[in-house]
Amino acid sequence: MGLLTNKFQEDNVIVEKLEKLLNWSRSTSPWFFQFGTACCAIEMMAAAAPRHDIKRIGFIPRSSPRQADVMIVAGTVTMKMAIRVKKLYEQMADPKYVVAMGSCATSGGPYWQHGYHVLKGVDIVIPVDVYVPGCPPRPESLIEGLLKLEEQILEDRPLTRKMT
Amino acid sequence: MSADKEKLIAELVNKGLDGDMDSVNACEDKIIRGKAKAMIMKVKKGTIERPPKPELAANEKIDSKTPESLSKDEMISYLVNKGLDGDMDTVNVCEDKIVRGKAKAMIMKVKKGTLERPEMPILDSPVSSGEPLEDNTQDDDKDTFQKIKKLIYDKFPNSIIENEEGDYIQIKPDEWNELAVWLKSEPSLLFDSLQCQMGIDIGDDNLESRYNLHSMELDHYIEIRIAVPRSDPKIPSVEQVWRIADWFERETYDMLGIEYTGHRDLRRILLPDDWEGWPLRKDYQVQETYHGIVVPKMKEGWE
Repeated sequence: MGLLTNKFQEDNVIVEKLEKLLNWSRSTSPWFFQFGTACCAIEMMAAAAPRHDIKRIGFIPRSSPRQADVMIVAGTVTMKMAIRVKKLYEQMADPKYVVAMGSCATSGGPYWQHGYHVLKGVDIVIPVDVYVPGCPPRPESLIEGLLKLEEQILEDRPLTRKMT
Repeated sequence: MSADKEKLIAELVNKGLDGDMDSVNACEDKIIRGKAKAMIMKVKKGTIERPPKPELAANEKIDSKTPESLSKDEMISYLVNKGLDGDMDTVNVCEDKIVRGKAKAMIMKVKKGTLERPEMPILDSPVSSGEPLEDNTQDDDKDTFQKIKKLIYDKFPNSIIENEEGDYIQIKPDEWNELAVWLKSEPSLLFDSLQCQMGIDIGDDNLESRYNLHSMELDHYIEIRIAVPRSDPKIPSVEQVWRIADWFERETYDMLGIEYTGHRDLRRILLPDDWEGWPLRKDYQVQETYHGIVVPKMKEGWE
């Protein structure tokens, strides 16, 4: 993966920061919470299916928010669903990340103007790390977004106290 | 006419019972087809006896000169004429491969202009050379509608509101439940399926609930419309008559706020239970917030 190249100084010992180790382990196995709210979910399923197979980059679907690190919001989020999305997000254990997949989850999509019942972007209720545009995005786009998320996780400072 | 129709029905029933359902399905007259099918079902169930085979109709068939009794050359020119008149089906169903091939080739040539159109062979049978009776079936549909309307009018004279044109029946909400029960159970109507129920804000402070009914047994349709004022939108529920109406009425309630009295579970079906207002009404104002989430309004100049 390039992460270990030229890192071995003597024999099989690596000297590295603990944060880096944590980030490395987390970035290569971000389990995602599988729930689809609309048609983007079909593309998410296609991405998880053998042709694209996002398991090879460490994304494994989990059915419980307790076991998930990443929430992929795939599809239109209605007002009724927004409350539930927020509740599910709160049930996930820290550290947690959100990928907004498709135009609906990023901005309201086709409902951005007249849909009285549609949340205009899931970032109104939960913090979003990666936005994947498209209607719906192809699995390649989703994989691109997930790789970006992995890069982001690598730069995290999980042991450093946050400045408030 | 009616004697002829009965004869035709009896013939079709006999054919259907002998395993030849294709000729029943090929019958162009909807009503005759429906009645024949219903009778076949009944005979199979054993509720009625098999009708006698009408002899006259059979004899007529043998006497008349059908396309099959033509010689090969005549047959080809017959098919070519049919095909050129737009009736390629007759050409395609011809069983003789050689005749069919020759006829098709000739049609191509005539269309190109290399060959003159052959003369149509004279047929004795008026049916095969006549035009299809499309206009009559439409009239029959209208007749059925008028018949149904009259039946309802005779039974519930106070419910029907007269409308000049349109193929729907406008009724008052008061007796709707009894009317629905009767529509479903009356042997000459038997509307056993509610195909669609919808609500519309028709303006003039009126909301309308529409029902599309179909009878699987007798194969006929009607549309019922019930208008209620926006100030007091109450319509008797038919949820217990046609079970499908359960969710239909819940959706209409959700979107237009029409209250279906007698519905056992009248809740919103799509929107959250604590949503305010009825979105498909023309005077709908979107609420400002929902559980602290701002509901964005349409901004001016967005379009």
